[in-house]
Amino acid sequence: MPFGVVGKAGSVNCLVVGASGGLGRALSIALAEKGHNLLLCASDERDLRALAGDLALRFNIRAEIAACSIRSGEPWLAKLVAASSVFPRIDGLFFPIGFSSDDDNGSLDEAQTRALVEANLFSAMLVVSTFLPAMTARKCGWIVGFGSIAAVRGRRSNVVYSAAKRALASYFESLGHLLWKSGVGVQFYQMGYIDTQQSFGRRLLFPKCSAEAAARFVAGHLNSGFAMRTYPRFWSLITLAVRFLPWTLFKRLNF
Amino acid sequence: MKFATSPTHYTSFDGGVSLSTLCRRPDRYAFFNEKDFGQNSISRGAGLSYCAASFSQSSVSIEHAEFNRLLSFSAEDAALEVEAGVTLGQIEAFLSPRGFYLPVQPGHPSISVGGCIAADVHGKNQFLDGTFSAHVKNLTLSHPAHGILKLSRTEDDAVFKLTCGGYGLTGHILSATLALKKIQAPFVRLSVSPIENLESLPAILKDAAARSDLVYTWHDFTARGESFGRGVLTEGRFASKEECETLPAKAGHRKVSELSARARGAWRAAFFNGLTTPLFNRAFGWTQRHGTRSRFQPLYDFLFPVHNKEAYFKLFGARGFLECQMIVPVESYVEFAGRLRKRLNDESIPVTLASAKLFRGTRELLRFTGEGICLALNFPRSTRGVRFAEFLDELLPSVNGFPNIIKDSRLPRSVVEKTYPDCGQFRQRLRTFDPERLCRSELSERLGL
Repeated sequence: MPFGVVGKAGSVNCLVVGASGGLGRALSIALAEKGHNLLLCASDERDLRALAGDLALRFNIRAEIAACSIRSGEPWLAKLVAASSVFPRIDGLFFPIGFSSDDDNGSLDEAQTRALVEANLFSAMLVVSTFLPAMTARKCGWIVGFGSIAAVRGRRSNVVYSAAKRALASYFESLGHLLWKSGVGVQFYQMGYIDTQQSFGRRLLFPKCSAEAAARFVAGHLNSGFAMRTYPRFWSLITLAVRFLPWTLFKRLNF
Repeated sequence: MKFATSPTHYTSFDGGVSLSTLCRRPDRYAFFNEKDFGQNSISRGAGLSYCAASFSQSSVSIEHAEFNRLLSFSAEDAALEVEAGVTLGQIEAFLSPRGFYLPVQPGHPSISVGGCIAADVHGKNQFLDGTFSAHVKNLTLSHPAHGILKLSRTEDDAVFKLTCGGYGLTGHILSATLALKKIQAPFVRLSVSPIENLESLPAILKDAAARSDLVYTWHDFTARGESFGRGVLTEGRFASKEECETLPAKAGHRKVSELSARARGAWRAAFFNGLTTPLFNRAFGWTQRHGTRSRFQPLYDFLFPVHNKEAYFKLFGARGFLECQMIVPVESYVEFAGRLRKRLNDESIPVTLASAKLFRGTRELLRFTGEGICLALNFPRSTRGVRFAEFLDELLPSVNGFPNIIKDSRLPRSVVEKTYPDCGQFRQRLRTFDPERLCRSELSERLGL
């Protein structure tokens, strides 16, 4: 894949949507370790200020914040674009954002459904379409999305969440096709169990990997050729098995 | 955002208290807005307290590991604002290249700032710089009933004083601004000299304190007769600009090795006993006395002598150890030392570590500070060991001494009430601030706080 040269460390500006906790926070740290400037986006200003302060101090980078609540119905995109104007350009778009609801069992009301789709799908689409023209014009950049192994097949829980994440995978596949000659690198990770607040205290069938390890992997492979990948790697086999499980068996599984 | 609660099992670092309880590990500030987030809760930092200060069966432990960020730094004001879960190692790694250091630091880089404030810990320079709270400019506290409070010596001074050395019982410390000191280089000129006996200690420490920045001693309490208490005095003085020119450019930070109560108790069998401990002490004493008398040491290594020597704690085995740390006034020190010597001659206890420092300051509430000689003793947790600790419980009030609450997981309430004149006042102030007593730990329940 012909990636353009994004720039030297210190002159690369990355936008991380969903930066305040879990994988987003770890990814922000991993990018800062590489010397990239950051625009951190999440809903809580206190979390963002703490993270931005820490990264700027420890890694001597520029870290700015955009406190936008994507689920609240506020004009978050305009706020994000305004916040991004402090940087001359945005070179990397990262979407470690995810939002799920325990009530997501097929009977959510309109507002709840919209909130789930907005956070897990629309937010990435809208941000990409905002920043993509400039990236393609410069013939360089990174766009990295994160899906979930929960979206490999439809399930009886997290119904809307899984649908949105599956649509996100499709969207990133389309982006990959669209941009493969443009110099803009597109990557999409199907994430397995990550040790974050969502998985804290839960007894899971397979081991969790640390958010830090996942983030370092992502930040270290930005110029790699692959477009879609399952992380940790062993989940590839599991997702393959689940994908090809006959419906007569699959429908009986409780997960 | 939902913050899950998980069953867990915690053990105090000395191995004395071990129980199953619940914990939460928030990673966002929104957690502290949750209704009733802290009904019967207690903060947990690195979990390295020798006693059960961060857990109990009736409380949910709130882990602060994710609140580990440096928030702001001002070289002009010599101040660093950090979250409570930040470790001393993180701070040292950040400050050292910038020519600053945190004046008060206990022995391991994994210890969190929140824990340092809550236990009002000390370093090897208490005589010069006081305890940790002396360097806390302000702090942010979250309390389930009071919300988020900004505290300092000028803003809500009473709660600030109650929180510094308040064992986490006033709420959850979120962040703090720490006063720093400038250094010319992250190196210490270290000098070691022999000490012949325990009785001469006050004079030796006073002399050393007059000429050095950091001072501590080590003694062999397994030696018998005239040799009892022999040891070495270690003095540290910050390297000057001129001296720095001959030193390597960087002090070289090492990777922080893991220290946890679980890892400490990983070896089932104990190495230390009546036979091995004297040999261990002789060998350690010999290396100290016959090593280089004067040399430069990276500040990091001097501040954190336990770093990379974590195996020492594992040698106590799964049963763990007892640490009794106490301050004895200089006036009654000779009597104290004599009675201690007699007791250890009558019944041999494998004291693996005996270390002393000079303390200065005024006593207040339950803080471990005051005028005198601070002596710390480590020995295996055994029937004889517990009997020896009980002997110290009786000895201390009779010489106007007092124990360090945070170092002894079995310290009885009666001893604390006898030796801390402000104990009742602390209890009363705590109840005035928090009548429902929402923040509780095994320590607070044992001492009736």
